[in-house]
Amino acid sequence: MKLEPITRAHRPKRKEVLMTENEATALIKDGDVVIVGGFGTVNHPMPIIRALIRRKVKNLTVIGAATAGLEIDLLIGAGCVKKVIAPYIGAELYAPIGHCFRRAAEAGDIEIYETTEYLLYSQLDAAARGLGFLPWRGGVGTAIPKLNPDYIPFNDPIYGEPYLAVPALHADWAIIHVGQADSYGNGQHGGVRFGDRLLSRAAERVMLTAERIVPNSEIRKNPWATSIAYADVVVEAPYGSHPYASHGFYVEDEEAIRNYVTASIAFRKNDMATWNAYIEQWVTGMHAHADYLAKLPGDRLAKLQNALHA
Amino acid sequence: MTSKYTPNEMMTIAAARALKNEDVVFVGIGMPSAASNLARLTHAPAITLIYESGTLATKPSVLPLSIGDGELCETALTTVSVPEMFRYWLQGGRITVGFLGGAQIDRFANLNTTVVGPYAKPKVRLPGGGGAPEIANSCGEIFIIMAQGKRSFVDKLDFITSLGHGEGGDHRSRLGVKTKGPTRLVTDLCIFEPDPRSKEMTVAAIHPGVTREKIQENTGWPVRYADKVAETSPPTARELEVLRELHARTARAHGEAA
Repeated sequence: MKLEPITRAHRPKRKEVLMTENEATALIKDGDVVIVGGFGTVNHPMPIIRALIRRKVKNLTVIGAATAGLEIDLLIGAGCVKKVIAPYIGAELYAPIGHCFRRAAEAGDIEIYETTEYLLYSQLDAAARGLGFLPWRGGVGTAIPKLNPDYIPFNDPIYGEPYLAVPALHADWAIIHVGQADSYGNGQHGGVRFGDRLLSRAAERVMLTAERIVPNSEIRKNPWATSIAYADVVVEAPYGSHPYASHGFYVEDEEAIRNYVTASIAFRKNDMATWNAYIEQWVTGMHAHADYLAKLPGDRLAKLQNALHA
Repeated sequence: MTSKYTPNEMMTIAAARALKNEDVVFVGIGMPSAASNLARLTHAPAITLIYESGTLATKPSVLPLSIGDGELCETALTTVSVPEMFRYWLQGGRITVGFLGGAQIDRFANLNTTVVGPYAKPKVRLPGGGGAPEIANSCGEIFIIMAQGKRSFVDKLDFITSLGHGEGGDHRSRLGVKTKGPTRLVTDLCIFEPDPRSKEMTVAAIHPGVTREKIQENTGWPVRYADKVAETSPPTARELEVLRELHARTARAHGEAA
């Protein structure tokens, strides 16, 4: 007996979804709600972030990974962001706070949705499951529900324990960086997945940047490694998380991260010449991700790759 | 042997001593991470260190600069997803000690990492609570490590990001939170523990050479002392050696940011 293949209603046939980062980024509109995957200084889809800035996309609502890093800070400094939904914006020992985030927050230039790591993930989890809300205990007793009326204290109807009811949070896009993907939208992380699987399920559409593109047969050799299936867009992006690390491929570029932090401190101090020079050099003064990689010192990428196995 | 040591080293070492071999610790980056790994490398070799990026029983040989650091994953027993970490390990009640730092603290060990000044017009925007609010509610008990100063040890917080003992007394349990909350606050000057009844953080031990005047000068509320105040034992040669070697290894791997 031959079984009918399982397909999604709106995509009856396997479809090639491979495109360039500029084509992919053109799908993201002003005002969209965009989740950015990765964690801290790891696995961020940087070619898409830079292409969004080159396209001068405006009024994005960005949802960071639970520990959102400087990739969101860059978007804020470049003026693409209206609202930030993230429990933390910074890079810990590199930068205790994102400096562009700090200036924009203190000046009232961005809206901030106060949350905690798992209040946020519970909201995305509820969206992914098709539920209206989920309960979470973290944040009970703090000022967060006072500042964010979306979080409603309640007692559970069975044991009477206090929780916050956290509403589903829907997004237009989740942009996730993976190790490898096929041209049909099936991706495999090169290491730790952080919250990426949940993030991908909470969004209407999923865009992957992948260190390399492999045939579907290669993906099917290790089905248990396929962390995200049926993404709507795949972009080939070798070293696509630079200056951040890509687990399984290369470590973070500490010098390049510090350069960014220096530029962002200039932004905070309103030294716009320094900030604009950074943006011109590393974001806008190029057409594509390949141009970005070509600007890096010759042996830099190889060093980052080799350091992984040091 | 008594070698010279810095107040920061005393703080890290005093915090490390509070951890036990059987603890399962949810570790933050920075000073909590240094103290937890010092404990693991000295008196608590079997301690289970967990970082929110999903690493279980990790044994980093250099300290991580940020939470996603590959060092934590590669030296872990296993890694789980961040949602699994929060749902099953943290809220599931499998963590004995949550180890936090913070920007501001009050006498009941509530923490602020959100804003300084009025929320609508902040004087200083801070990075946000991250996972600390749920760590503070869901771990068996909380240790806090923070350098003391009038700007960080304040009479009144502008914003409670993470719950300590609330307004004191049984406030925590009145809110329905069943875990112990902050049981130890280690600073560069002394060690605070909550008064059994009022839950105000009171000085239980003073680091060698530190005076009560100095503690008060660096605290934004009138400091109370336990009936019996001990003197913290100075760092042993071994504690100092291991801590310095850990920092040296980290510096060799990462340069000046470490």
